[in-house]
Amino acid sequence: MLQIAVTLIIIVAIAPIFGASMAQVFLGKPTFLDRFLTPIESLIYRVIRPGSQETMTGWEYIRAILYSNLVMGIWVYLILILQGILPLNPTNLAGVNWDLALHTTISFLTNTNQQHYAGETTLSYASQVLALGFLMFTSAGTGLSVGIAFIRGVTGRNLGNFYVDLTQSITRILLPISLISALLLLLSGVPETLANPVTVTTLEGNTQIIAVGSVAHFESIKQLGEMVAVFSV
Amino acid sequence: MILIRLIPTSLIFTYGIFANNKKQAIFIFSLVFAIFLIGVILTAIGEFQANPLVNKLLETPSPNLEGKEVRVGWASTAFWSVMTTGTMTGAVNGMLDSFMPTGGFILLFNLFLQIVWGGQGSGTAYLFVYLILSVFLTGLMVGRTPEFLGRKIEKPEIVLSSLILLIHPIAVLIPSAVTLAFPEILAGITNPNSHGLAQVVYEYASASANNRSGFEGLIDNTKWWNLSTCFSLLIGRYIPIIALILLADSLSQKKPVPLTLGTLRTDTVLFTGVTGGVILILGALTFFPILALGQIRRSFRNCAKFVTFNCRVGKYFNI
Repeated sequence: MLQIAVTLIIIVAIAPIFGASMAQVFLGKPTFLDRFLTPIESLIYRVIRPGSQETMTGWEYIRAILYSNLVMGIWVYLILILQGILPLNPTNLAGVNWDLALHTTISFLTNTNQQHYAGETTLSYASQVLALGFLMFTSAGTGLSVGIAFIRGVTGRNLGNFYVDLTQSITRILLPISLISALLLLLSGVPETLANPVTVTTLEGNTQIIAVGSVAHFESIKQLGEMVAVFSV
Repeated sequence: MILIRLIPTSLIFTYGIFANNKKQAIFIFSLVFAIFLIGVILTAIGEFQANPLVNKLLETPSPNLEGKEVRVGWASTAFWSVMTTGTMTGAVNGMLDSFMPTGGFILLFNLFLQIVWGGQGSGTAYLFVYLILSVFLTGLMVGRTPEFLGRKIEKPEIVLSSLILLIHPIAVLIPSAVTLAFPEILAGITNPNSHGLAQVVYEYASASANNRSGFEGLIDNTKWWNLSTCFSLLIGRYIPIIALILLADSLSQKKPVPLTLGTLRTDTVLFTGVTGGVILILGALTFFPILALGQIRRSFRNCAKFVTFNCRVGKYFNI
C-alpha cells in the first residue's frame, strides 16, 4: 500500500517537470543535451533527408507516417521470416510462420506488442534486437510525434515535420531515459548478453536451461514505450 | 513502473505550456488521476473480497490470489494491472484471466476508454478529442458558440472526433461477433459462458487499443486469431492517427476568435467535471452491452451461486 502511494506521489511530482522539458524539446528551445545531440541528429538528417520544409500540411504528415511505417514493417517482417538463416541465432530457431510473423510485425509496428508466441522459444536474438527492439523505439516515437503534432495543431501552431519529430523523440526523449533505466536494471542483475542460454544445476540436482539475452535494454524501452515482455525471465 | 506513465502524464503538461494555460493542464491531469484512482480502488476491493465461493470452502476470508505472484501480492497486482491497461503497456504481473469480475470489468473499461493516461502521445490526443466533444455538447446546452482555445469547433471537427471514437468499438465488436458466431472453428476459448466472451472481447479490445495485454487462457496462435487481430491492430492505430492529424490541421488553420464574455471557459472545475461525465457516459454507452454480458453477468452469477451454496449448506445442516 505504501509502495503504491509513493509511486503515485513520484508521478505527480515529476510529470510537470518532464512535461516542461518535452515542451522545450518540441518548441525547439535550447536544452543542455544540445551539445551532444545536435551533431548526431544532423548526421541522421543527412541520411534520411527529412526535406527542407519546416512544417508539413496535414496530408503530408500522414503520408510521412504511413510510408515510414510501411518500410519499417517490411524490414521487420523479412527479419522474422528469415531468422533461420540470419546470424545471432544461437539456439538455431527456424523462421517464423508467415501468419505469426505478420501478426507480430503489425503488432509491434502499432506499438501494441500483442504476442501470440513465447519469446525465447520463437525468436532469435537478431529478431528480438534488430527487428522488435527497433520497432519499440520507432513506434513509440511515432505515437509521440502524433501527440505533439496534435498539440501543435490545436494550439494554432504549424504541425511540424514528421521526420524531425520522430528523430527528436527518439534521440532526445526515449533513448536517454531508456539508457539510464537499462543501466539501473543491469546494476540489479538483469542480463544483457548475446551469449548462449545458461545451463545451471538446480538445488534438486536437475539441470535447467535458462534463456538469457539482451533483456535489460528491452525491459526499459518496453515499459517506457508501453511495450511488454518479450523475454519472460 | 514510473517509466510507464512518464510520457502520457507529462504530455498533458507539455500541452499546458504549448497552450499557455497551465491551469487547464492541471485540471485535466486531476480528472484523469481521479478516474485512475477509482479504477485502482474498485479493482483492489474486488480482489480483496475475492471469490465468496472459494472463501466459503476455505472458511477464512482471504484475498484472491489465483494467478498472482505471491511476492507481489494482491494490492500491487491490482494497481499494476489498472495502470498497464490504462497506459496501453499491457505488461502483466498477474494473470488477468484470474481476476475477480470487478477487476476484469475495470481493466476492460480502461481499454475501451483509452485515456486513463493512454498511449504514447495518441492517448493524450484522445483526451483532447473528448475535450472537444465536451466543448461542443456544453456549448449546445448553454447556447454559446463552441470554442476550444479560441478556435470555433464546427462540423468537420465534430465528424473527425466522432470518427476517432467510433473506430475503436468497430474494431473490437465486429471481429468479436464473428468469432463468437463460429466458436468451434475459429476460437480457442478455454472458459465457459460469459467468462469466455470476456476473453474474446479482451483480445480484440487490447489489439485495437494497441495495448497488447491478453486476458490469456485463449489459444491465440492460430491463423484466425493472427489475421483477425491484425485487422483490429491496423485500423485501431492508423485511422485514428490520420483523423487526429487532420483534426489538428483544420484547427490550426482557423483564425482565432477573441475571448469575450460569451466564450465558454474550458479551464474551470465545472467544465472539467462535465468532461469527466462525457468520457464515462460515452465509454459506458458504447461498450455497456458487452460488459453486461461478460463481466457484470459473471459477477452476478458468483453472487447467485453464493446464495444457493449457502442454502444447500443450510439444508444439509438443517438450519
